[in-house]
Amino acid sequence: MRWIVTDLVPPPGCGKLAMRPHRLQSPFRYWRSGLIVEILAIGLFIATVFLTMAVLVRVL
Amino acid sequence: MWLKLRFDDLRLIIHYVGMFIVGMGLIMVVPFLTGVLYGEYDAALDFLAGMGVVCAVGTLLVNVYTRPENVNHMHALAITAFGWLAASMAAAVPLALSANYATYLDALFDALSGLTTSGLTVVVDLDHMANAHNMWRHLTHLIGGQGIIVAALSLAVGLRGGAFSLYLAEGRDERILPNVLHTVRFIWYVTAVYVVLGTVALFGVMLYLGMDPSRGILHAFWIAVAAYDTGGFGPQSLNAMYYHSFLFEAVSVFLMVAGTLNFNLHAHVWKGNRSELWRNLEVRVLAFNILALSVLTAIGLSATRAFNGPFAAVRKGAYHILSAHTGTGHQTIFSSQWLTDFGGPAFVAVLIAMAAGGAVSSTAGGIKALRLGLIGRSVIQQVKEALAPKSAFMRARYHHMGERFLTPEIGAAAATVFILYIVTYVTGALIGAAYGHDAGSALFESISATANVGLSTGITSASMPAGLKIVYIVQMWAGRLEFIAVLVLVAQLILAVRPQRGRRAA
Repeated sequence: MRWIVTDLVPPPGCGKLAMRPHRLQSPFRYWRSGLIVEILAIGLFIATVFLTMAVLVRVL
Repeated sequence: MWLKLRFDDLRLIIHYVGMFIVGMGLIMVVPFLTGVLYGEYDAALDFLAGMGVVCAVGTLLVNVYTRPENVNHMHALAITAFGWLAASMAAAVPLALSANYATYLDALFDALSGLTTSGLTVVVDLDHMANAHNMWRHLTHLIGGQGIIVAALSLAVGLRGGAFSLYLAEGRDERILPNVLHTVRFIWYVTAVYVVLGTVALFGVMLYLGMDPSRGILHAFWIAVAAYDTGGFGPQSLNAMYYHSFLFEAVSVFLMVAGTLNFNLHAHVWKGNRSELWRNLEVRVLAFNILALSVLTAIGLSATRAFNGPFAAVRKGAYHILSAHTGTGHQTIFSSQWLTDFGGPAFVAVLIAMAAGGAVSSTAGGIKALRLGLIGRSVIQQVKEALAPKSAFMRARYHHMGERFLTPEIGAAAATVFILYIVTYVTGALIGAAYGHDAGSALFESISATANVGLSTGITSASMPAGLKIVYIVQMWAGRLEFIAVLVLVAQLILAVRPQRGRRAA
């Protein structure tokens, strides 16, 4: 059986409020925190590369 | 029975290629305005003339077919392969009008190098190039980095059907959002965020270095675009070495790594799925490769001791490994230093880094980390199957934007592209050697061109023979489109001239 959801039919047990159209949220609503996480991760990775080489160049 | 392109198909392909050419002409408004703003009226005229020629030719081609139908898979591949060449030819027109290119072929070399985000250059007297022309060179990185098709799709320039086929034909493996138009707009959105952040950070660095603000803002924007789009062009002949600044290198290397990540990965993290950053097979392979090659570079640089102290060696080593692996090609050493100061294991590490490349669906070129990961997993799987009892049923899995099964078809597809890259690397190296260059330099330049990196041992220059310029042009073009679109085009040409089998004489 296939269900077709429309905004004209309220779900069972719901009143008029459920029928009220609402703004769709962007799927990228966490973009600011995501960007900060990316910046931190990339920075940490570059620091790891730099430190790895620094230790090796010192030891060798 | 093969699908051959008919006359109507060719008209449809020419129609869309014409659209790309018109698009390139319209974008020339930006360097034209740059020329006017900076009082470079001769350079502005080059772009005015360029716009006129390119838009006129493009409009003629668009009108070859006025009622285009939906684009199928075969059309998409042909449009992409032709479109990239035609767009490069159009982009080369204003460059050829400047005094910085000896011939139109040289201008075409730089235009295609810019669009494919390679960064190899045959420009003459770059230090005295007009800001307008430099703006155009770096804009080609911005257009090509995201993809010409993506640029056209994001504006929905007359692409009525088959948008997803065109998107895939350009060497992109996955869509980020259900709607392909939303996908390409998201790609531009991510790019805009990183380019703006990079420009602001680099502008601060330029002011700190004492550069005039009107010049500093241009340099900051150009370097931000070239680093994020993993291009490699620079406004000065010394490339990144011109700035002599650790701060500059830190910001630019950050942008390179951000640019080499999959756009789909950005989407997942921006949707709140942060664990994808460390669970993704591609990210793991990329991180492991870079760290392993850094170790090899450190061993090599310790042996040569060519740089002034350990800090200088680490700074040069880390910068170039990241620049090579991300496919950017910014360099802070002279071309001649690759074989002397970067000799031995460090040189080999840079070769491997360039060949491996960045992530799929990013601005980077090369074999790509995901393919290397899949090939590695396939090998492990085959070993496991050999050790397991015959009755055992085993299926390998990998994490890439969710858990996926590694099917033999996926492994074979990755291996095919891997082999095509290796064959092209070696062929280009053999041709370079035939032109009299030593094997190491020839291989370095061949990998750099095919993987769209842009690091150079000095072979690439205005004085290079025309034949070798054409070879590198083909390598950059085929490498950017990951071969399939180009091979389909070649196959179509062969089918067009080959007599049909089975047709008996009456």
